Amino acid sequence: MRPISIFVIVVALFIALTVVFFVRRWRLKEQYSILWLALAVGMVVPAAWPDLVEWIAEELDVIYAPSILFFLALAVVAMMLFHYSLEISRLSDQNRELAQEVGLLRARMEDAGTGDGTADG
Amino acid sequence: MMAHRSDTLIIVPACNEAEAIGSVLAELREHAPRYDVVVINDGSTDETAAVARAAGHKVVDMPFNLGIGGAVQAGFKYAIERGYAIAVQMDGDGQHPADQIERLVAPVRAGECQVCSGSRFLNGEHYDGSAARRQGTRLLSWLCSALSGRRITDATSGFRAFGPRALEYLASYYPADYPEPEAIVLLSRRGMPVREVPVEMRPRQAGRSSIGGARSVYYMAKVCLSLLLATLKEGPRRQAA
Repeated sequence: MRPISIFVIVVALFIALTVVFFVRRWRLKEQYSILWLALAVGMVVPAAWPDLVEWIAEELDVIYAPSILFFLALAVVAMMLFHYSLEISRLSDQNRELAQEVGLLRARMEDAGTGDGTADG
Repeated sequence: MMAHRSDTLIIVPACNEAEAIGSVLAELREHAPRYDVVVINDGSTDETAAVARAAGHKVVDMPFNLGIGGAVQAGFKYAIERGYAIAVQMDGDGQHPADQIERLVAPVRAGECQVCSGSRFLNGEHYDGSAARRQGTRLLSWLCSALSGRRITDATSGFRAFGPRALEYLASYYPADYPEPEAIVLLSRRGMPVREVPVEMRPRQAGRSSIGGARSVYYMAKVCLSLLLATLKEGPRRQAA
C-alpha cells in the first residue's frame, strides 16, 4: 500500500472518530453524523483500491483518472451545502414564527393583566 | 377573541422610532380615532415601546429584530387572532399621514378589493428622494405591473389596507425582507389584485431609511429575483411542525 493511501485512511479514521466523539457529547445529531461517516468511508474506498479509480476512468473514457475524485468530492460537498441551505431556511422560518408567537403571547398576558409580559405569572 | 372597539386594526411596525412614534400615534388619535392601533416593536433598543405604551397603545414586542416583513406579519397574525376584518399597515417613522388612512380603507370596506395600496406617484405626485432611488422604485413598479397584470405605480409603498382574505393569506406567507413588491405579485396570483389610490407621503421625520447607499444594487437584484420567483411559488404550505 502506498504511503498516500495510508495517510488518507488515517485521516478518514480521524474524521470518523471525531464524529463519534461529538455524537457522544450530544453536540452532533445522528442525522448529520451519517453524512460525515459516509464521507469518511468514501475517502477510504479509493485509497484502499486505487485500481478502482483507474478502472472507472477507463470505462468512462476519462483521460486523467484523479479528476473523477475531484468531481465526486465537489459534487458531494455541493450537495451537502445545499442540504444546509435547506436546513437554514427551515430553521429561520421556524425561528421567525416562534418569535412572533412569543410576542403575541406576551401581548395576551399583558391584556390578561399578568404584568408587562416579562413577569412569570 | 378580545373585546375591541373597531373591526379595523392599524398595524404600526416600528424599530428604533422613539423620536417619531409619538407624533405618529398622536396623529392617529386625531385622524383615525375610530380604529384600534397596535405597535409592533421590532426589537428596538430605544424607548419606542415605552413611548407607545405611555400613549396608551397596545404594543407587541418582538423578542429580537425580525425585519419589516416579520414584524408586519406578526401584526397580521394579531389581527386574525383578535377577529379584525380589515388591517392597515402604516410605518412608524411618520412618512404616512394618518389623515389618508380612510382613502385606503374605503375600497376594502366596500368589498371592491382585498388590498388597497397608497401610491405617491399615482397623481404625478413628486417625492424628493435621490434620482437613483426614484429610478429603482420605477423599475420595481414596472416589474410588478408586468407580473401582476395591474398598473402599479408605487411598488414599495408600505401604506396599505388589507381585507380578511388577504390577511389570512399573508399571515401564513409573507416575505421576510423588503416584502412590499413581492406581496403585490403573490396576492395578485391568488386572485387578490392590488388596487392603488393616490396618497401624499412625507419625508421621514427621524431615523434612517432601510434602503440606500451601496446596498441598493444588491437590494434591487434581490427584489427583482424574488418577484420573478414569486410567480412560481405554490400556495401557503402548512406550518412546519
